[in-house]
Amino acid sequence: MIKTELQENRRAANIIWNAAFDYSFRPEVKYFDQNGKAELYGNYIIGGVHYYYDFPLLEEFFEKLKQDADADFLRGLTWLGLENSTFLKGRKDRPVLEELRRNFANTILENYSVTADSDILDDLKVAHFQRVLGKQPVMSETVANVLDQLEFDESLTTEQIIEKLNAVILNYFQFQKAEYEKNRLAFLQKNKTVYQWNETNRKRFLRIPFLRNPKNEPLEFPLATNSDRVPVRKNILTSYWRKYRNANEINQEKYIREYYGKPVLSDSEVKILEKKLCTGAHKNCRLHFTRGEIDVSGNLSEQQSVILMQREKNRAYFRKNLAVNNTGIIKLTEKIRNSMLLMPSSFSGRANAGRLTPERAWRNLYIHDKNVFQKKIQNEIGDLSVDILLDASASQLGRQEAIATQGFIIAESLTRCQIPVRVYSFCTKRKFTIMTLFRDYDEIYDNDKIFNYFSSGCNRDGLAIRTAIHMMKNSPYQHKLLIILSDAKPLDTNIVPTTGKTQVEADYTDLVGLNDTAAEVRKSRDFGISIMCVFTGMDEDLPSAKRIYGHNFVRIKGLERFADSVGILIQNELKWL
Amino acid sequence: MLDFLRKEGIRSDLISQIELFREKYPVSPEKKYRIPQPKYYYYGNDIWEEAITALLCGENLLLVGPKATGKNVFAENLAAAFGRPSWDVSFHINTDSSSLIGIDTLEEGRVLLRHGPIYECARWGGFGILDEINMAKNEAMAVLHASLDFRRIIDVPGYDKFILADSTRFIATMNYGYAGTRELNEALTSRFMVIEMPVISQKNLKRLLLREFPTINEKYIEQFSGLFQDLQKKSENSEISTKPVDLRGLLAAIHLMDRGLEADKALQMGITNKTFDDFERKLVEDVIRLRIPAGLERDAIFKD
Repeated sequence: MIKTELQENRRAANIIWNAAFDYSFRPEVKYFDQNGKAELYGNYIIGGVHYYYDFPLLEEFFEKLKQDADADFLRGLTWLGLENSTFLKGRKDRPVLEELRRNFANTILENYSVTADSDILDDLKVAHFQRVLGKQPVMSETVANVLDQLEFDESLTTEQIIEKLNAVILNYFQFQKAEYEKNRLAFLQKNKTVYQWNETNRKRFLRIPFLRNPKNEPLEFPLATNSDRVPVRKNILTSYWRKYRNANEINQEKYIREYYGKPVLSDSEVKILEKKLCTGAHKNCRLHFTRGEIDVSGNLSEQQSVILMQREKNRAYFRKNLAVNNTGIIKLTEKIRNSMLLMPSSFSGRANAGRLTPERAWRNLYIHDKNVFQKKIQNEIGDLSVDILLDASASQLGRQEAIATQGFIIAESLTRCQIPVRVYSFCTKRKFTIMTLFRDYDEIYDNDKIFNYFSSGCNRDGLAIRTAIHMMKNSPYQHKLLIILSDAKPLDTNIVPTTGKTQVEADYTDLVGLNDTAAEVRKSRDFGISIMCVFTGMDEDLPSAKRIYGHNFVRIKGLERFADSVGILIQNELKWL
Repeated sequence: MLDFLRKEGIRSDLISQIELFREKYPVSPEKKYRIPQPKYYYYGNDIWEEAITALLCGENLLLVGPKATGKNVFAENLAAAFGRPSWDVSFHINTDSSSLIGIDTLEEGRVLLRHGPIYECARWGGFGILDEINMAKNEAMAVLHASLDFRRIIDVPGYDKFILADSTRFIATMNYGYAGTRELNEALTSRFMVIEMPVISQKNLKRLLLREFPTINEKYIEQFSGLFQDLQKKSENSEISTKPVDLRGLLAAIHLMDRGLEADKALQMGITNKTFDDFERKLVEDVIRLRIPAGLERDAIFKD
């Protein structure tokens, strides 16, 4: 049920984009028929308005209408007028509209009937669509007048239409400011700067408190939590600041180690890697490589018990859907195996052309056997390795179990096909981007460790991908594939000091993060590494995923289709190795 | 073919140089059958002039562009314009040197080189059309390096070296960024002049339709070409795959309409059903419904 709704939503959006010749916006209004299906003509009109008129201007107008107590009514009025003019404009480009409009009018008239209690918008609609069908509607003089003015012809510009609408509203309908709107308006005027409620701000409002949940912050390092409040002044405070910074750094390191597990690389090895990888947008960031092991014998900190609990939850989730998951693994294994079989297998045999086999040459002369040659075709599938990178940032909090399960299914299927797999997760806490390794190429019995996955903190996708690519570059396999399970929402609002004196927010939100991540993905090509994304996020982040991964991603809507979707993606990759 | 170029308004000096080229390199009668007779013409004067100039200068061409940009049509048109026999080589994952240059075989008890298409093409001074060149492994194409650059030779181990006939040119096509395509290595790319093939414009698509279906109604040329643009736009924005963006399919569908099949059904066979995903099919249907009325019959589409 939900699936059809989603599909119809996307269908409606597609009709609108198609009519608008523009796919860059997210349609605010969509038109559905009584069965909840996307309606062709209605959505065409919405798209057509985008195409023929200055939509931002209209949006502004709609925004203004919101101040009226009966904004819906006025909006309905506007769309009625726009239907007329958009149709008149559009029919030259698309003659088919005449017929679609007639059908549309018929449906509308079937569903509406003018009764004593119907409101004036209904009256107008019915009258308008009766006119569309060439009928003479029976209506009051006022309705007729309004309708005459509303049925804009195609020559009007957006400004003229708005002007006309304003006149209609002024002449026939009193503009009633809603109580709430009055208050809000006053508030807006008073607090202009505070209240700029645009898209980016809204996102930040929603995200930051959630990510900076004080519960996740350790209380035992007061210096660290106070870092925001450290005064930034020159000279006098420099030495204090430096001292503070060093202490802070050590504290941070200690904290990261305790929280995420002890490092698997030596300090100097990590330093070398940081020097190489933490550049550009990631300057001053740090890396932490760990196996995520927790010593259960000792005293557990609160965080550690939360992590352990999550691990249990992951396993329980997998067990709960055991049948579906196992089918998924089998299906995916089959798919991968199938595409491996389709690949030309290594073939060496007698042929009538190729490398001559001298000891057989006589056969040609005496018994006219032409097959005295050897032909060999190489099969190179054995050379493939797959890395799986799990996004372990807090934005995945609600779906940790699902991600662990999905990671496990892919890894297990590849393992069963004897393809080497390495699985790790990434997240960013403070300055540190933490790479937790669950299973290395040769640890074929350790897929279970993928359930150690848990999410927290932010995510610097760009740095994580860069690190992953660096690690893969040095692997001995010829073909390398990196599968990322992510919601394509790079975000890190942590503060990273740039020099000893000042601290600057190394902003890694919205566009900065997106562009950087997309650039890293493009770069991978140079190293012969293919990247694909299994998109785990919400509808609204789809454009970001597209931007980062191009065509190379699948969207997972439910576990039932998981194996199929991922299978197709991997198959596509395998086919061309 | 040259008449077509003249009609299109290609620079006359280029055309006269092509004529000189043809005179200078006559085609031996036994290979005349290999000179293509194009079914479709490529429209786009800029691209024509760029390509003709490069070929006259002895360069090889690499045509890069997405599906339905007319890469192969253009390659064939060029061979026809220059009046050269052409050899088509479709590259695939297992293409190797032996399938390009030649392979040992036995003929009456003697080991001989069975010539591959590149060898033949070089010998007869033809145009080699290397289709989907980036499907092959880069290593496999290393054998082409010497033939493609200033050396213009083919040196077959165990046999002799020979020099390409003067009129030999190679025209490669590739589709960048598709599943299965790989990055062309620099050594190979540097041996080509690269033309980025633009997506067919609405104007040229209309001309193509009109040429193919002279009796088609103005109104529907508009709608069919608009339909194709709509689909293209949708695919560019990854709302649908490239499968239904099928110019061949559209042309075939209109042919079916010409034979009397209802437009709906013809388009379903030619376009909608090219995708096997139910939802994608719905999206494609919506696009068609916004262009072509349901139950449209032949009489309405064609004038005769």
